[in-house]
Amino acid sequence: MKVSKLAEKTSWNVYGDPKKFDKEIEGVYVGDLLSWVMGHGKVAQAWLTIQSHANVLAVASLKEFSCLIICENDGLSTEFIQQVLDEEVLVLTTSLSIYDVCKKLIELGV
Amino acid sequence: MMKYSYVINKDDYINAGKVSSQIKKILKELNVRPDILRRMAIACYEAEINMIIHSFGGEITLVIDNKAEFIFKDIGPGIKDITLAMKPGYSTANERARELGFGAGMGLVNIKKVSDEFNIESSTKGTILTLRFDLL
Repeated sequence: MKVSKLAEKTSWNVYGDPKKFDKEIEGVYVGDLLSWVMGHGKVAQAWLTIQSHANVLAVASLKEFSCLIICENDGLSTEFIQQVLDEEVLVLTTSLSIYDVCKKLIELGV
Repeated sequence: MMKYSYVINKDDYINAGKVSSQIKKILKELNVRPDILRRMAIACYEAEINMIIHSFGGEITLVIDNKAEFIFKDIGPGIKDITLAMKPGYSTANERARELGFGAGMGLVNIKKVSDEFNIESSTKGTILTLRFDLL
């Protein structure tokens, strides 16, 4: 499933340009410890985390994840949104817990 | 031969990862094979973060000819016990770094795993981490 399709089906907030950076989601990785994610995440996975700062964007971009899904989130800072726009990565946000996001992704066949 | 150098400042979390992103872009433009490029990006990112979190600051140098060589050189305070620092899960990261998701204790482990050659030397005067990657 493409990231844009996931965004459409979930109505989660999307940041970044889906026309430019829309990618196929090939699996999911969950984690908040950046070096752990660096070591174990795989290209094109969707990455689920509760972290929302510039460093997660750097990891998402360097690892070439298909998207970053920030869970349990009540809104991003304008500074962070600007940083998202500078990176080649799509960010989705939702107030759902990581567990509920996982359930949703499974339900959608990701 | 091409040489690129970047300065890294202590505790500069805001810019953490920027040098790695820039280097990745350069490697892409040089048509470095994607799997090698990804390994180099991981190593560079982890080492860059290590310098920001643990060192007083330093410099990242990348030299490319038929191989790629990274030199991460900082001005101290040095790694007390390199064997311990190489142990998966061991970390001396402070609370601020941990809040941001750093300090998994996987940095050097990840770097060694993805590099073709890995060498680290450390004293109280500083740490020099040298990594080599075959480009073919």
